[in-house]
Amino acid sequence: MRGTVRVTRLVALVAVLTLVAAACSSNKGGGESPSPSTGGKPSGEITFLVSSTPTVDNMLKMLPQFEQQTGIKVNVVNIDYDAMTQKETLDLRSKTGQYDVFWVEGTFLARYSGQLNALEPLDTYPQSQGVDLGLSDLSPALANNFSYGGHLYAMPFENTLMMAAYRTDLYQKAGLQPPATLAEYVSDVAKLNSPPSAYGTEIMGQQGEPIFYEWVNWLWGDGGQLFDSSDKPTLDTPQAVKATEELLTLAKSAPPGVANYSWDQAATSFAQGQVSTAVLFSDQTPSLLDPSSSKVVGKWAYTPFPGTNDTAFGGYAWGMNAFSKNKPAALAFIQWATSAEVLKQLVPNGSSPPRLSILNDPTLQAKYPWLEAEGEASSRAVVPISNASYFDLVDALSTDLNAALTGSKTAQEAMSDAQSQWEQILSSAA
Amino acid sequence: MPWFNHARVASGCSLLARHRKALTGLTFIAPAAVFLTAVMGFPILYLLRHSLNKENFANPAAGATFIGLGNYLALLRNHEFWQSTTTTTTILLFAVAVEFVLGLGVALLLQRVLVGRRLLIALVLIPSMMMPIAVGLMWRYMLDDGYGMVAYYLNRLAITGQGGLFPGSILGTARTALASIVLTDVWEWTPFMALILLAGLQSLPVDPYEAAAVDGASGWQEFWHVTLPMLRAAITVALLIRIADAMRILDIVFSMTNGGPANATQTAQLYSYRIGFQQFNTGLAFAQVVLVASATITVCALIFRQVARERGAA
Repeated sequence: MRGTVRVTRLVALVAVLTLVAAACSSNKGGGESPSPSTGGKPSGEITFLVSSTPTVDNMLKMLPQFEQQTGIKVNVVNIDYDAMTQKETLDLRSKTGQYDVFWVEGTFLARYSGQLNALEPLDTYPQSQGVDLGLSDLSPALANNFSYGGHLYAMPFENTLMMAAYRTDLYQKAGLQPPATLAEYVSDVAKLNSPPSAYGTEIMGQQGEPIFYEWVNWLWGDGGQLFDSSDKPTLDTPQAVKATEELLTLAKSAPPGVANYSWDQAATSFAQGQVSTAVLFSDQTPSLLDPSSSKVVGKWAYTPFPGTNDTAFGGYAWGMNAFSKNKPAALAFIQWATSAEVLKQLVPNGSSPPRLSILNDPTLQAKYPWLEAEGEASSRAVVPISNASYFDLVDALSTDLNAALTGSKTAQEAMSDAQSQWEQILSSAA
Repeated sequence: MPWFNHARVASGCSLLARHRKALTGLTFIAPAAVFLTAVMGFPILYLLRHSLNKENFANPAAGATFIGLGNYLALLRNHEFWQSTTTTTTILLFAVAVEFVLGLGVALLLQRVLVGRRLLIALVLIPSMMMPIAVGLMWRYMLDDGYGMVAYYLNRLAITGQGGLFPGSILGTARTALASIVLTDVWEWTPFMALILLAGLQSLPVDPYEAAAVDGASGWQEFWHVTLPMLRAAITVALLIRIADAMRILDIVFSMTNGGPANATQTAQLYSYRIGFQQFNTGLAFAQVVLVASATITVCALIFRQVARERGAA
């Protein structure tokens, strides 16, 4: 009797352990997934980690088409931006390959490719497999923004540029032309400032990436740089101080509360007709086009950020996990999601397409006026910082910029403090 | 000579009999205690161990270097650490104090409601049931200087805005941004405080009140000398829970101000989040967490000790 009980318990334990082992094993590709180099039709499942934006949401609506064409099941994990970047880092660090395809920005490459070495280079595929990602349809500047160490690690999806948005009706009424230089922009803002009905401009003044991206364009416009040729920070220069002072000047013609404005609040402020000009990220275009939330439909236009300097690039792309268990399917998805056919269908809703064939198409430009300005801006859009300490650096600098904006530091003090903080961060990271 | 001592065995059995109740209780909670020790103990030990390293989660190639108390010293020398600690303390003191006063008032009022009390409690509890991040976002937009409803009325009343008592942007000025965080926390958690205090009020015996009435005590005297002393246990529980929560405040700050302007509203928890989840400087983040947890435990222990002293004196 006791022996029977023991055997029964042992059998039950083995059965449970077998079930647990089976449940824990991943079976995305139906057994051993073929590596891209051995060929084979992509199949199975992949997991796609992403954060919601209007363009992403519209692309996801088209997903059933891809699944029907290829038979590949795409499991979408759509979460908040901050949580997404954390999950990506955790997954890449742990090398579990939980997410096959995910959101990559140019500023992430130093960490994902440089430190973690966990992104799959995509530019080798067309050569070895005949897979055509249409790389020649990307501008060299754009391809460079998603490259690291000489390889392309993500295929661009949204070409998020910093554009100067302006009210065409107010400009026409005031007899002004779209600003071509920084001085013209500052002058236009002062002329059009008539609070409280309409302020001259807004500032993305929130501590963190918003104020950093707002400010860096002014720095470059004034001839300054974040680093010198030997990668030493150059924040305590006259150009950096001037850029900060220009920001403070613009803030006088901005609505109260801009010190807490992030990019969506900046776009809302423009869409509500509260300001006459604004420097916005181009992925906010959908909010300007939507008549249910925008009071300026048909009354606005983009022009590239004034001047001929570099402007900050904030676009994102789809990268492949180097530890993905289904690389053929992941590659097939990336190819589809970044193809000209799919990207063209996203344009009517206000996307910022990365492909030259779409940006430079005269028919599309006539129908969607913002494309021409974006095409022009695309050639000088660069990733501002390509350093693994990106978040530390932005955190430190943005705190000082925000302090200057709120009056607790002068422009000179803010830049001096930021300089010493950057030196400390970079020396401890070395 | 017998091989065992009758007297000793007898005294041992008597000891067991005296402590049987306690031993029975311990036996029942032992599995849960072992489980909790394993589940909580391992992470705590892991945390303590790695707080002594210099390491970056996103840079495995750099490895982990044992630096002893280096992270702790770096924090104690860091201006941002002290600023975040001061901010957390300020929010805690003001928020919990206001929540207690308002919560007690709401609880006393609810106790007098005889018809529809349950419905009223459910309605009053709505803020506490909302996700903190949603609460933060909601208040952020309501306090927006340009189109926020609350900001509009505050400006009209000359409390904020140009020419107001507190000129400048509400969430863009350090003082008003901090006050906004406190008020949002009060809005969200006063109902929770009221619920605990109401439960305490409802469990109070009636006899002392009858005796007070016979002695001719006024309403205030009844409240101060009868209600409050008897409510001490519920007050302790409510304060402890809120203090522990307030020391970890993150969601509201993150969604309202992201720690700005210029780190004026950056709490200790947000600072830990920045170090741990943006910079991935795990050694430093763990040290920060240990310091915050130690402070929380110390505060709670002091409250417990004070309550125990007062109970002993009574």
